[in-house]
Amino acid sequence: MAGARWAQEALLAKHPKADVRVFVIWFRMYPGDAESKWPRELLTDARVEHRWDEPKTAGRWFLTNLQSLRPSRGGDGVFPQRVDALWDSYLLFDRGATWNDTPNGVLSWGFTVMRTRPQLLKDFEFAIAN
Amino acid sequence: MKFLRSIVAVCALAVLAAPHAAPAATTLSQLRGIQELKSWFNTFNGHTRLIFLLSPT
Repeated sequence: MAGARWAQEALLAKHPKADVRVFVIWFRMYPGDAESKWPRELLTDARVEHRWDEPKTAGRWFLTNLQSLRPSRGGDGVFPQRVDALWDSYLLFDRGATWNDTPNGVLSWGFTVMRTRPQLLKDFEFAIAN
Repeated sequence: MKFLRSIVAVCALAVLAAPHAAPAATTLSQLRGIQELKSWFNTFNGHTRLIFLLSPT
């Protein structure tokens, strides 16, 4: 949740007029996780949508398709965990990105959000300026 | 009356100063499969898009 708090402050609050849309997908990864623990006070910006994903559909999908993503601005591309879903991660896409079989236009992605936040901040500021 | 107008003006300015603030949602909708994410993604073509995959840990 530290990543969500950081994103709210460093990305959205700092750039209130940035032309960006954010989709946050929450799901259980640890035994104590639960939908009831969703931090509703975080990422309340009107540009953000939240969903609960009980079967981890999105996390599983991105983990399966990670190799097909081609980040144009680098990043370390590290996801060292042996788990069933990509999580505690971000994926940033440029304005022209479209999703047919897989999404294109990936600027960067990172795991964990906090570990890779310098890259996200740099690429976010690049994206909203272009 | 002047005082009331001032109060209204201050409140209006406060609202305008926070154009992106939204009330915290009280419920969390279920993701309707990867198709919903894909649909959202393509709907906002022309905008920078950012996806977070998080757990409430």
